[in-house]
Amino acid sequence: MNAAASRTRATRRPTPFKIASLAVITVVAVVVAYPFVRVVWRLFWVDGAPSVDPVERAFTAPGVGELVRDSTLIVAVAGACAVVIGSLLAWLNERTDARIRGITGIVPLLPFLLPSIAMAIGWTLLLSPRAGLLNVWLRDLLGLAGIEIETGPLNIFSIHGMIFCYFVVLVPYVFLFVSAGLRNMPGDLEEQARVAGAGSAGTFWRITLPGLKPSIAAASVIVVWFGFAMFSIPLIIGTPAGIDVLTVRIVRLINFTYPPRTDLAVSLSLFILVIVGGAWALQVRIMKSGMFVQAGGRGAHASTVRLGRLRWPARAFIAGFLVVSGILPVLGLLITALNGFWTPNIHWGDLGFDSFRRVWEDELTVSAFGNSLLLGAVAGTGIILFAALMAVHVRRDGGVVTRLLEAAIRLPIVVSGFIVIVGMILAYSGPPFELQGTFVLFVVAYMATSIPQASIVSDAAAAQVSDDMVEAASVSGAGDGRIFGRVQLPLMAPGLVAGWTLVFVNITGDMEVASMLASSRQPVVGFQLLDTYNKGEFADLAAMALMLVLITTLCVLIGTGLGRRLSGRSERRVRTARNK
Amino acid sequence: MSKVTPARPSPDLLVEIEDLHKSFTRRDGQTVPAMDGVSLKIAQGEFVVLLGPSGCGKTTLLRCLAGLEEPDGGEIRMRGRTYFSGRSRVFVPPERRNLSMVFQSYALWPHMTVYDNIAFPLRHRKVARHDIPGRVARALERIGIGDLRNSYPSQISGGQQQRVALARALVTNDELVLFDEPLSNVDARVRDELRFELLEMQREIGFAAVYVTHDQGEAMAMADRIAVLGGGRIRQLGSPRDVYTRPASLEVATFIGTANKIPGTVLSVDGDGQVIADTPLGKVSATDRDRALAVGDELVLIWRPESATVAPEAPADSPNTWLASVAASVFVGTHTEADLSVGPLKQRVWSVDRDLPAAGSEAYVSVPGSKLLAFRI
Repeated sequence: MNAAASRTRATRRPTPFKIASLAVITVVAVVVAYPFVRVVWRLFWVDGAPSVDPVERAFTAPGVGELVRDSTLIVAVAGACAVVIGSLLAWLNERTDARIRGITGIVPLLPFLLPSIAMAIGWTLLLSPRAGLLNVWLRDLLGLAGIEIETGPLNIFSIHGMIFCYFVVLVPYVFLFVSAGLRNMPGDLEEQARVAGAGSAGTFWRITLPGLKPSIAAASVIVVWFGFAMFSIPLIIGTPAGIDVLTVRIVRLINFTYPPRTDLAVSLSLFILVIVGGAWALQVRIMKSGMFVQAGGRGAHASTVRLGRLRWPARAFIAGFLVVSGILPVLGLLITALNGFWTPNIHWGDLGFDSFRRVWEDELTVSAFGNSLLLGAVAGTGIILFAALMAVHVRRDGGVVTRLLEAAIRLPIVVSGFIVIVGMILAYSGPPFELQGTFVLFVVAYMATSIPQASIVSDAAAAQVSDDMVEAASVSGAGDGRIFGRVQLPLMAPGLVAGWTLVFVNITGDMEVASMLASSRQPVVGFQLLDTYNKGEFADLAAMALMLVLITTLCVLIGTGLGRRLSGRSERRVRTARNK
Repeated sequence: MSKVTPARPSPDLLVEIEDLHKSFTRRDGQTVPAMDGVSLKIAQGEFVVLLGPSGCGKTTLLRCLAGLEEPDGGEIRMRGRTYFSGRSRVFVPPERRNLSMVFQSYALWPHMTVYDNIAFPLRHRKVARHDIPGRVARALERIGIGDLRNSYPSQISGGQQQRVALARALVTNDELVLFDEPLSNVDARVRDELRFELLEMQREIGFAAVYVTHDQGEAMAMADRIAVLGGGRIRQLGSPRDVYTRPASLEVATFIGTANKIPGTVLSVDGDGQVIADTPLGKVSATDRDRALAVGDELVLIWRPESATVAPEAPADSPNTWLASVAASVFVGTHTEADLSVGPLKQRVWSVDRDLPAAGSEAYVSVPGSKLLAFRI
């Protein structure tokens, strides 16, 4: 008794686990926030004195008006379309009889499997004005109708083409958010409206849509984030079209200009900072307004809207999205890869695996794949575990220090992961760190850019673990560390595995970090793809992109399988309302 | 282990709570007191129920005992060991308090089997590894769910989940077990069953229980003592019979059981606590237990629905007798309930042994003065 009594005095002190988590979080906060602060610093501070030069330089850069206008226009149009179509797909799947179990819920997410670089290349092969496969077939078709044209009729190398590709890439994000919103909205709200005499249309406009406002707002912000961070599509499609966006211009200034115009690159970051930062601030305001508080928990399943005669057209619409987002670009890649070189005149009898073999026998490519997979595994695992730790820590201990650290980690990435990478090059590649071109800098950069996905997933997973579960373990005699290992981590596992899959796929298919950090000394898949693209070896490019898609798909399948197994036993968790 | 801690005034005193304070800051910055000076002593093996309306601070008190919430001030001691002291800044975290708790939501870990759920506290309390299977098995047997040991919580019914939660709380043989409205999520039949089993086990094992509920029937059935909480304070502490028949305040009287109210003014008081009040029903004679009333005070008279006699004829020589019209009369199985209109007031009566007059008829209702409790307002 006495020993125990003397121990009680010490217990106010934080536990070793708490100290350890705080230390880890602090280190990450410094590593992430420092480069960002450096960039922002350089925007307003030159040679030790405050200065407006960098800002002035941003506004007077050659062609800057066009640059900002095009970047904004593409994101605005593509984003608006993605929000409408993504929401519609979500509604069709969650609330109508167009739903086909296990199919309509997955189709809109399939673009996640296709790294955006692969999609951009796929569409280039299909719709380049002269040699695009689809264009040739369309010309043949038009020729039957007596219309003869030399090029086109479609041209992917245009602002329309870019908007289209942005749109396809952005739809899944909207679909995810709006589906979640629909699923969380208690179905009885809509049933009540039906019983009260509103028809399906009236219910949709007056109940469902207003209830979805928060999810749609969140989806719109996400669309702006990803839209302005987009890199591979504008690089592959925008460059031949003569359309530049901010990200591509910044990377060019740093990596493909000699000597590097880092000062101008930093100045241009200002625009991304302002636009995406504004979207982020808006998001915070929406969250604060309490619109995100849902009326019920997981409500009973909502009754299904019968589409009647529109049912099959609705399904055709979903199938149409599958065709443009997945089937067509993959077909373009497949035909070109099998044909061995890019030509509109396919000799169907001569198709073969030569280009795959060439890619497979290229040492640099193989080592690039190896590097990317390893980086995905290392950085993905690291960041997911870290995000889980942080989510749990924030939930248990919402002190000022914790909140400041959290902001230091999230703010830079949330405002622009792109700027953080620029900052990392500035901060870590030179002395005293000398990390230029090293595996470590890659891991750090990938972990940093994956923070948003990792923390969204981890926060959601942590929120699923009710406080009771933790408190019960605490009363049972388990300390913080044990609770994390035995209760929180296992309960979060299904969500974390899903998050890991997402992060892994993003890293292996990444272009932006690759284009800024990679070299032939430390090649990664994105770098290798870019290199092959620049050399104009399109069949090899298609083969590599397909291999990437294959790996991604395999990884997602394993991830979902594992997630399902993990959640199988605990899925229908003990549900209760804490009515206090 | 070597020394006997001096701060142990009586051998069977288990928990001392002294002047506990706790307030929460609402989102708009306003401070809301949840506990405002709560003191309570709990004896070994005693069953104490914390009863009160929602927001009265009962759950906060329980959570402070568990260590899940840290009070702003006051002291908590168990077996003389200080668990919390605002003055000397002591706070023992929940995992070192050696007590058990049953949560309203059961809080069974969905990724562990029933066996692992129950073994969890043993594994973290330094119980010898080879003792664990036997103790879990005994706990499972005692609660009658031995066949569920390898199931996951999601595979068993709500009542069974409740039993697992109970087994997990009892497996460590702690001296104090806390219950946070544990029966509010199971259906009525299971609730009755579990209530009796829980009491039986409590008597058999001899742990002290602190049990939070807002269901006064449950409180009456289970408690050795009930602490009625309101506004962050203990309004009354006593046996169920005390609290019901001798409520300390109007607040307690109206919260516990059904109470008929008659407002009025004091006309006269005598030395025996006999009060005559002027009410809308005329002069009424009642009892002033605390001798706190003076002529001219405003008061409320309280009586319980089962205290009245209802008859078609006016009884001779009964002072508090009123003619009432029967608004509704309902047979509910164990007894009959009737709503009466007495003058301008609505009053409710219950009768176990005979039928009450049917709705629409008239009857005389009389309440003995000793059953009419007077409270100043």
